[in-house]
Amino acid sequence: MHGEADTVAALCGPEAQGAARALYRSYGAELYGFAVRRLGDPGLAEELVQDVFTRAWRHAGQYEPERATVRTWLYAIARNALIDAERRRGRRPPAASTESGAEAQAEAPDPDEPIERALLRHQIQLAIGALSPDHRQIIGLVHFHGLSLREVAELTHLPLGTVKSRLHYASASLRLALEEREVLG
Amino acid sequence: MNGCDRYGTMVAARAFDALEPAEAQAFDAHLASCPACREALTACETLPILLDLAGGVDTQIPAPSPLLEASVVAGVGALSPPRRRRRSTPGRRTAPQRRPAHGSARRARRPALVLAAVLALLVLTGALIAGPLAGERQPAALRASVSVRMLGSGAEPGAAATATLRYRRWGTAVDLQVSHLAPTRGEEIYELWFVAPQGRLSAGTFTVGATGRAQVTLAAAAHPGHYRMLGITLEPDGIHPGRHGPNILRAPLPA
Repeated sequence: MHGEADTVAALCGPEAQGAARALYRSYGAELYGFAVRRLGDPGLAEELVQDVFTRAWRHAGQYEPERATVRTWLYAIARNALIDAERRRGRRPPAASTESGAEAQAEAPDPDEPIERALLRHQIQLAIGALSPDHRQIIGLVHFHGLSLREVAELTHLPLGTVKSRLHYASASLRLALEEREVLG
Repeated sequence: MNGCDRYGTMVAARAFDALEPAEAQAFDAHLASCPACREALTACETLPILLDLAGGVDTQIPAPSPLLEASVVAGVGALSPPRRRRRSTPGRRTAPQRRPAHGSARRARRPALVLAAVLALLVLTGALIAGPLAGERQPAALRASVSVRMLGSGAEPGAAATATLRYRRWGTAVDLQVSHLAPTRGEEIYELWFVAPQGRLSAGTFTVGATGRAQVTLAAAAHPGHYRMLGITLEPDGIHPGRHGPNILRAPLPA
């Protein structure tokens, strides 16, 4: 996106703080979400996000918009910062969580998962999160619960035609959300 | 819709294997004669694979603390600015630069060295006359600095510190001098905090050696009047900032 490339360029000038704020508002929360899942520690995740934006600011002059989008560039920085953070931490297990056992286990990061795979998973989760609740619901029922369209119609008391078109539009929205996050070309 | 009126809305259902067996059979038979549906199905078939990687649709992405934004922005302003790399225009090549003869390069460099020396002298003189804030062009209200003496809370008898707060647009820089603090061991760190009734904001961490003294400059996105106290805690485990240690030193801040 051209506007975002201009924001990165502004990191080199007197409006650096305003540009950093704008970039943070676009990507800060999702980078934090990725970091906290990967590191399993909110404090370390905040440090990592801070590190990512400081690195972005330091290297803003080297950003080439024709080679990568701002999203790809920031995630590449995050990937390197995360590798450094994991090295510093010596791949310790994450800090104890206050969540209940089952919940904590489901959300527990796998330190041996390749970082590229973890990044891809995070982008897919963000795309799913961008769907409307109706679209998320039908994809969940059909894919994760293995229900047929007819079974979904019975469960939700919706006409079969509505269920069919809802799945059609949910798939289209998911594709679009994945394309926006550069998971699909 | 993919352009196929009859089967277009069935593509996603086929990709997710959600059609009844008879419908699936009819759709598959139709595929042989419909390139649009074939293409749409191929595009759709990646979705179940990607969804499997996500692991579910109820994925809550954890949200950061509201203070993180201020901290990120302050971090960018607190350091010296980066240098912008000259970017070449795509498609346009610059003419190759001829390397100057050795003698002329040296001659060309000499005035630049003299100019740099004069500039350095001017900057140094300006800094000595006007003090450390002269070069930062702050508005009058932000040029103030305040020194506070931090007193021990009893956890480490004899511990003392002086903090000089320099107010900036992005927050506050703190020049901190501590003495008689217990040396940090293992993962221990001392942490400086701005404290307000609604919460506290870290200004950074430091360690102390065998002398019990340290002199550091820390920074936080804390603005004058927003925080009531300055405090130093001893954090038992610097790797896990979620675990907090005892208060060692504190001082009220001017309103």
